Amino acid sequence: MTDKKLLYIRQCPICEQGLARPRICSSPATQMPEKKEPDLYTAGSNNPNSVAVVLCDECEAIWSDPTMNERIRTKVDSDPACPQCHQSLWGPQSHWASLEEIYLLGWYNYIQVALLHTDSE
Amino acid sequence: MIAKRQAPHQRSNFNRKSPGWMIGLLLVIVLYAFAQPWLNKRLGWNLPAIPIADSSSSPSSNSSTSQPSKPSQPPADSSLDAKPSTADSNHADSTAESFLQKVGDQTFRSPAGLVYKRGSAEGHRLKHLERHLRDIPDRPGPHGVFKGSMDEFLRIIDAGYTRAKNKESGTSVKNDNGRDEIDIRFPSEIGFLGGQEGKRKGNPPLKRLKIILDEDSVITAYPF
Repeated sequence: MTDKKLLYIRQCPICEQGLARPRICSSPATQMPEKKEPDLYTAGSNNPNSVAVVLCDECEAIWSDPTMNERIRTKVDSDPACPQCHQSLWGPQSHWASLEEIYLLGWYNYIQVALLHTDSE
Repeated sequence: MIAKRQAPHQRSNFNRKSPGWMIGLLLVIVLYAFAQPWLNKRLGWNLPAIPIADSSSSPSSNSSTSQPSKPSQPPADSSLDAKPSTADSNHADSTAESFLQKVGDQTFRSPAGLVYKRGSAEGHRLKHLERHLRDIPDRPGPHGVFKGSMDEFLRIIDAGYTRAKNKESGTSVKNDNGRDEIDIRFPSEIGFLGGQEGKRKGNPPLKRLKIILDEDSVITAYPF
């Protein structure tokens, strides 16, 4: 039995079963050459080209930020897709955001932490 | 003639010498048993081991009660492994054998036409469904847990989908972002409420099933 920290924003308002969690896409294709200054949307992770979204781990609804006011509706082959590179958010280039990444994003105040005593998320 | 006459004598002579001959043979075998690993190690030979070693190991394996339980352990562990890997596809294959038909690489189709393929945080939709076969008491919020096996879960999903497709009473379909959210009410309980919310409420029984589909691909399904 291992302890695992699960970082989430809140229960998903769409399916009311999943947890809305920050997800990072670090694909090289997410580069945005026009933008000089990183904004809230792209400021996360060590990779300046990373894109952060909020993703429900059950129904896979996506939001652009932790206020969860704006839905993102990009999909690729039934999978939720990164709004920048349009690759699957379940692909190897993406991962659940770490606490450090959440802090860098400025999303820390939205985050809740659950300690799981199981080996599953 | 002489040879024929001498034969019985020779046979009896052999019988008289046989105990010594047998002891000598046993000594050679014992010496070989001791020398064989040493010779293989020191000289790099590949001398065969004496079968006595095998016969001594097999009774011990029969007598040990832990041995039969060993093969049953890896599937249980692999079912808890959340990493997408070849083990996942093996598991998906074994699940598919019972109810689903394999229609492509890690893609399976149910008799009702539902498709289960790669996706979700677990790497495969079937793997994600497995998460709803057991409670996660520490998970925040509700967690619908199906009471039954994976095979039974897949069958009830198919039955519910067919009922909803036929617009039977107790079913409803809502579309969100191109995905169908299907609610099906069953006459008896199909699972219970788990997670932190379930624990707080005493794990009440659940009679409804939600299936989320992207066209005919299953995204998730769970009792609620």
